[in-house]
Amino acid sequence: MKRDRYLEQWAAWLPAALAWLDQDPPNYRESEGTIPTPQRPALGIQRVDGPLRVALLSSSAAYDTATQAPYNESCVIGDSSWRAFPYDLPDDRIDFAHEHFDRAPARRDHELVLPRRALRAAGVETAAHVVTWSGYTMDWPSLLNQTIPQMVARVKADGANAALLVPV
Amino acid sequence: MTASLVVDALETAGIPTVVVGNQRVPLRGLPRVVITRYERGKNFGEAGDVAEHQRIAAAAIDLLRNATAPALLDLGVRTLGAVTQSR
Repeated sequence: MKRDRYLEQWAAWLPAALAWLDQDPPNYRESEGTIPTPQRPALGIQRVDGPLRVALLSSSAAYDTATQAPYNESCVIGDSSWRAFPYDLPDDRIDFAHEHFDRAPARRDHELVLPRRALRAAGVETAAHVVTWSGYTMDWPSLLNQTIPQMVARVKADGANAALLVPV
Repeated sequence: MTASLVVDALETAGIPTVVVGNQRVPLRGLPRVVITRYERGKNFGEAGDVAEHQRIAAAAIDLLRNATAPALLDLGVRTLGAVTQSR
């Protein structure tokens, strides 16, 4: 079995994080502020030749209320799953399962965190699906090893050549 | 913080990204960032302000099309990075 150094670092950090999160109120500053971070790639600037086909991704934990389960807001380390739903899904089919931000404004106007109409008004083609995850998750091993690769695969399958992300 | 992990994976897969957020520190070092002056959960402005939503989206797309170096575009009160724009 190949060793996963990041997983080992994360597992070593977890007990202290759980103790911080068990405080009343939970100590998010210490738990989130100390989570081990993986080594980041060196990123340059990539250019797109030709028309843009843009994927929209948001960490607002948006989901399709008719066909998808809400994100788990009860888990102390968050929910590392993801959702994709049709770009043109009616507004009344979308809700946000993320209790770490005030959802009332976004529920009144989804464009605040899911700028579907504004993005199209910018004159670009959009990908077939909106992709979401929950910005509150400390299960970074699952995020890195399963969730993010699946989200990237969805974006590529949709033929997107660029992405706009809205972190919440 | 998790957005930077998603950006890393998308960029590594050959998909250029732009992030529209309201906090600088978690987005530091990403290729293209637009910072807006609104609070968490209102990245594109106030509810019903369609013109502002479109202005922010247009600025983000402009970065995707035209940035030639890592850029942080501040649509609030300050300007940082290689691309500048004021309100």
